[in-house]
Amino acid sequence: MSEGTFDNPEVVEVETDLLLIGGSMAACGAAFEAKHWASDDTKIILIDKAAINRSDAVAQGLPAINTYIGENTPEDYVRTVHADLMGITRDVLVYDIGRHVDDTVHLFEEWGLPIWKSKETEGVPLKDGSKPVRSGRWQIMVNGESYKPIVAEAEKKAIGIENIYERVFIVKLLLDANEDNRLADAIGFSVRENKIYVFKCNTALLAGGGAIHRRRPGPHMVSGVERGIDLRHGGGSWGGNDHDGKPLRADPVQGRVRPGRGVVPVVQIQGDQRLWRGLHDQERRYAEGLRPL
Amino acid sequence: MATSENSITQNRENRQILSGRVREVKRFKFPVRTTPVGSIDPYGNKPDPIDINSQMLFTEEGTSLPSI
Repeated sequence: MSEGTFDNPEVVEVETDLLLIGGSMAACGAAFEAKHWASDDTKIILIDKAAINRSDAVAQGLPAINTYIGENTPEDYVRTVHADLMGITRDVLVYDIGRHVDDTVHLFEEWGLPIWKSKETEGVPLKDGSKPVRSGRWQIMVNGESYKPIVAEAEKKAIGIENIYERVFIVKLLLDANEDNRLADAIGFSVRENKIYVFKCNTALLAGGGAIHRRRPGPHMVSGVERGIDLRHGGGSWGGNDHDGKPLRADPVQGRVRPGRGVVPVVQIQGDQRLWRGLHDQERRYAEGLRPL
Repeated sequence: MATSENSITQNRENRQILSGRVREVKRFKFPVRTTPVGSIDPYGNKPDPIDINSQMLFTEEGTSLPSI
């Protein structure tokens, strides 16, 4: 660890094709999916402000996965989420998350997450029609202490440990000088060394921490960095995580859902497509105070 | 009676853990993982990339999902 001095920091420039900001379940899912579709010479880099093994709201482990469709239908899921969030939802996105979520849960089980099964289908994988133990209509119970390390291991192996930058906190995005609404750089600093990082990218997925519970810090660190940096460029959020653990919480899937033509620059998501999902008043005021470009 | 005593003991233990007075490694009484650490093969036995314009995730290749 370097001494706490105020010397000029070293500036490190890194070039990449795809930049994944945040070490969350969403970014890990996106890395896993993107690496599969990318050509061998496509560079994918993932950045986390801490360590991806224990990042995200699931860092401390969870006793349940909040959404598994199973015997339900995606339509049921849309109805539940819509009612739960007082209608402030984009039902198409919710439907899409609903129909893809089970496949991702099957991957978790394959990678080693212990999932509770009913007595009569014990030992049978979920993808072969096993019946999970539920808590409520949507949750399934797991022994989830190692939930995040399991997903992180798969992600590290997918894109390679050399492409992961931990302890780097992204604070600012720069747009392309020539092309409207195109992300060009992400700038951050190392939280351990006197270094500033500039990541030049073709496209990026911003999956930073939301601004949930900013009034009252919770057990997991919510930096609000995502709201802070993308709204400045007129970007909106889609597929956010509901802070009460309500059914919309399916982050790993949101990262993997491909919008039509592969991954698009996140700042291209424009104001009219914003997904204002029941923001806290404080958060909304913050958002409105920031003018889009 | 036994249950209430248990819950009192549990509460005391929880308080000690929370206050940082007990520093011990947690031993789980159940498996937290069904595969050995480091054994995940993310792309093993997975289909090859076929159609990037398809709405399906690559692991969903060959399945049919409901659509609106």
